Amino acid sequence: MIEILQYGFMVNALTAALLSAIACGIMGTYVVVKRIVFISGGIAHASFGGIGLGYFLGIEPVICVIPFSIVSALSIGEVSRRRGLSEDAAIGIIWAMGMAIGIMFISLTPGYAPDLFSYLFGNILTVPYSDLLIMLLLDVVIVTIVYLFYKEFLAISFDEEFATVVGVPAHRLYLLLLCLVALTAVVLIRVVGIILVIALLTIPATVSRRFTDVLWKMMVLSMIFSAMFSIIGIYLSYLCDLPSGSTIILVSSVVFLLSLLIPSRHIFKY
Amino acid sequence: MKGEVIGLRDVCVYHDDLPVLEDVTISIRSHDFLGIIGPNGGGKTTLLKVMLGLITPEKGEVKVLGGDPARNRRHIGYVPQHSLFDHDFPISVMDVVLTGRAGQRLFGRYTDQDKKLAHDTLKMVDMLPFAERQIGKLSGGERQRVFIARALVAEPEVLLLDEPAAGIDAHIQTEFYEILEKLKEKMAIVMVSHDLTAISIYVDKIACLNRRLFYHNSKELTSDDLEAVYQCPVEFIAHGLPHRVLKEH
Repeated sequence: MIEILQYGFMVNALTAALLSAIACGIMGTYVVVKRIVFISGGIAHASFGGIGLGYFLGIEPVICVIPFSIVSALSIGEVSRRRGLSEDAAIGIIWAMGMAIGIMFISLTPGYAPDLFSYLFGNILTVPYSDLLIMLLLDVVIVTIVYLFYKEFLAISFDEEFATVVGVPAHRLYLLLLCLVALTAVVLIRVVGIILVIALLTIPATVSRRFTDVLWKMMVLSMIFSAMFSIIGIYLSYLCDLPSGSTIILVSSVVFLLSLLIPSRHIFKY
Repeated sequence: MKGEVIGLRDVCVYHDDLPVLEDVTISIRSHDFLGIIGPNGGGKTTLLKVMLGLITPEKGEVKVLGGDPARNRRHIGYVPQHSLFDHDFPISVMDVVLTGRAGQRLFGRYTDQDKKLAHDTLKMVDMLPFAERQIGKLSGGERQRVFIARALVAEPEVLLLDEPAAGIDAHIQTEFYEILEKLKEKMAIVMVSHDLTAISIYVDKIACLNRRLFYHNSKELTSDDLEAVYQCPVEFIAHGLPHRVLKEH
């Protein structure tokens, strides 16, 4: 296995796997415990509009998708709170709207859209060096903000209403949390693609949840699982010439299903 | 009014044009121990949320410690209906109690003082041995005591409890009410319940709520009040003096 490290693209792919594991271990934990899986899926899909806009304006799509995904996160966070509007309907609408905007922009862009497939389904074997820098930067932002607001995020995740009563600006912090989910989606686009982002946000955290009752330990475990899934996925996709994004997700899914076979009473929780 | 911790005047709340609370006026003073009874769907939880500034009434005035409820609610300890949260959440008893201090300052960790208060409060409700236990791995009564501790750790001047005895065994309820007995020396307590008998033993004053509030600033209700609230004749059981809720009739 060592000899494949001679290839520059392989080193980039493994670096991307580790960098994405940091974001998805931390934010995936919040997504799972706060039960915002569907919202996060909506944010990730809606940010496809940013990819389209990037093509249209001739800007690097990964850069364009950052502001776009933040706007999607804020709109989903606000719209889903409206009284008289069902939350899942609001999410579904913004989910589809963002994707439609993306497709519209791409069709308006003259010529052929290169790499389009890799944004949708990911291709970790072709991650350029510049994207690694963006991923690193986003990781730093996510880790810093979660470090600063760890106790507030824990309070609003457990009981948002009570947190409001004791004076935590719960709604604003909730929107901040959704923005971090949006940034995580950006980090994961290159690894598994927009369509499969939600799998890496949920599977490692869900598997980790079975092994610990402590939030920060769950984050660390999720990072380890996520890195493991990606690295195994990369190796298998290289070996068998399979699409990397779906290989990573299938590896994760198999581990998830296997973890269900261990009865909970046999699991010692750390 | 002197000593008033929470005051509502002519408060009306509507959900989609349907009245939930109508012309509710009440004044809660320090060291009051008030029980609010009424049928399910009678607006009890809504009333508590109005006091907490979580629901803004369409009409009327709400004052908490003489000011805006949203600004002064940090002086209110709130114990919501405990069935409503996620029992599987990865959080320890100690961390649940600490969230009661989360609004004290933004950024960073809990201070040593926060931790000491949480420790002492858990001790007061006899839950210190369970401090590291995951919140879902407690019995209903134990969990209720943790939620009381979470409300108390911010050192409130008034405690609001929403159906605190629901789903708890009778003998454990007694322990629970004894904790409240001790607390009423230090703060006003408002407890919402549909269980009239339990409430009548411990509280000092009773109000009856079904959209409208019937309250005489005392522990007595008239049979007319109860009929108006439950909208049917209510069978009374007179318990003798210590438990008396109704006037002699």
